[in-house]
Amino acid sequence: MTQRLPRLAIGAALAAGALLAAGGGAFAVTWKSETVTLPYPGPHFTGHGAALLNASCSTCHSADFVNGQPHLALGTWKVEVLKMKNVFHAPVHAKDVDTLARILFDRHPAPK
Amino acid sequence: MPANPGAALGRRAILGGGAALLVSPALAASEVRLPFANGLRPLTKPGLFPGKQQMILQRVRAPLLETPWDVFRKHLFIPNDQAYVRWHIPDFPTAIDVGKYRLRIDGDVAHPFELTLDELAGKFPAHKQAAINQCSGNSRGLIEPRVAGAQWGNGAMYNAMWTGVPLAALLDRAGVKPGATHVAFHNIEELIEPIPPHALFYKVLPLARATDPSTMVAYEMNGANLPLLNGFPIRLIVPGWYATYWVKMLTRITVTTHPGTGFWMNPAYTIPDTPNGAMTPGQTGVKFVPINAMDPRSFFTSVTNGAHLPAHKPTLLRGFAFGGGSALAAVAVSADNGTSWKDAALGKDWGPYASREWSLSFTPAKPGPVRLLVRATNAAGAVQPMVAGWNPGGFLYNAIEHVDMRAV
Ligand code: HEC
Repeated sequence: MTQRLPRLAIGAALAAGALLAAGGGAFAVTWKSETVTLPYPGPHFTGHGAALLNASCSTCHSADFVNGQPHLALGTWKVEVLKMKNVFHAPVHAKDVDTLARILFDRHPAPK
Repeated sequence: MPANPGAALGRRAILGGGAALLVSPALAASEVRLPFANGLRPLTKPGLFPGKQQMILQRVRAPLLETPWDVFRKHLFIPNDQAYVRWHIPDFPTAIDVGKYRLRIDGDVAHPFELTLDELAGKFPAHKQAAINQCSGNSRGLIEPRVAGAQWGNGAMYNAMWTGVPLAALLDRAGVKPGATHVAFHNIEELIEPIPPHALFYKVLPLARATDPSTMVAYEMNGANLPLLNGFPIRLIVPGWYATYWVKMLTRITVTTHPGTGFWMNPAYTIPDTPNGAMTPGQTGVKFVPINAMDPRSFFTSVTNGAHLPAHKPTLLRGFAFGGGSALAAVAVSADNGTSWKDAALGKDWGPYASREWSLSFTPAKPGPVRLLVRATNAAGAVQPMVAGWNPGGFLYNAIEHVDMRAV
């Protein structure tokens, strides 16, 4: 036994302009295999705390992303660092959590 | 109320020095300042990312590319090579072999099955539908107080014409078993070290939303194959709902009896279960639910901050808007900071989930500063607020936009 799904309301949807039949039945799509190149790895950290940041924060995303973050409270940076460590298993040593939060806080000063 | 970010885009070439590039000159030729603190971003060289023209570079790896506002001023349907890009983890393939690609439908179904791409396109009726894809965190950079995450301006969205197969047709063929309540969508991503299995990307929809006639598996975007960075060869489209559900490089559709336990359903991409998804920073005891339908939004395209308008003479204002979870019902413009509103004329109706053009003739009564606001209302009665609701994820931003000009 299977569930009866709501009938595809193609007619009604058509009237509402939601769906436009694209010829009905088989559709001629040209499938072509793709191989692309991405400009990886992208930027690394430079400046204040760069060595620790590169060791802790570069595996999964390029530094431009972290550098583009807004000014955040010190405690918020600590939550972020702990999230990276606990949820995504970022290579962050427990002893470095506070240092990293402080570095990130200092690198993102309040806007003037 | 934030400035209209589109209008605030001041572009400056940096040839010959001046501003310091955030990334090497090999990646970017110029920069753009998004209208929030720490908003300077490189603009990519066309072709730096495969299938993409010049884009606002939010992140190289995994790619976060924003559509420059100028593109919205020129196109209601955003060209494929300028549609924004959002990946969480750099663990998706850079090569897709269309001969080997399969889509599997399984779980609580009577007849699990697998399709090649040719079978998907050839054995099921094709449907076309216009719909806007908007990142859950679009405009996050404008939210106050600021929150961590991709710091988008308004360009993490694109309206497109989609061709594909209604998901209900695939589920019908599989035969959904009684008791099933949800459908999970998996993609081709494979985690990279050291990310643990619970962070593998997949999304779950309630069965009713999955079988809505608008939900479909799309293989064409604006009449062409999807760009690889937008999910080639196939992606789920869930019109009216945020793009987090529009799973790219879709490989497996699993009918289930639970809403999923994956990280990307909860706690990621959840919003307060409150009106407008709003709460105050630090508020405790708030119930969070997976993000779902979009809110209405509207934008100016014909005018930008700093423009001059002729006083005592009519100017035709233009822009676009969308209703979100339900069709766009009205667009109105205010010249007195929201005290009174004038309805705009709506352009061609491309369907309930698409962007729609609006226009209105406006005559400045006297020379001097002019601030115009634009506001959309959807069929369900949702109206854009003056100030966006705040939530810790920076989701659902939809404050009323404005432009500051001068009548001369
Ligand atoms: C093991 C992989 C990994 C490492 C290492 C890592 N991150 Fe992340 N980070 C992620 C993922 C996955 C996301 C969410 C994906 C996205 O938003 O694109 C994320 C998102 C973020 C965000 C956006 C806000 C959020 O919570 O989603 C910030 C800020 C951030 N990371 C900072 C850092 C910092 C600082 C470090 C170093 C202490 C770091 N990351 C190390 C995987 C990682």
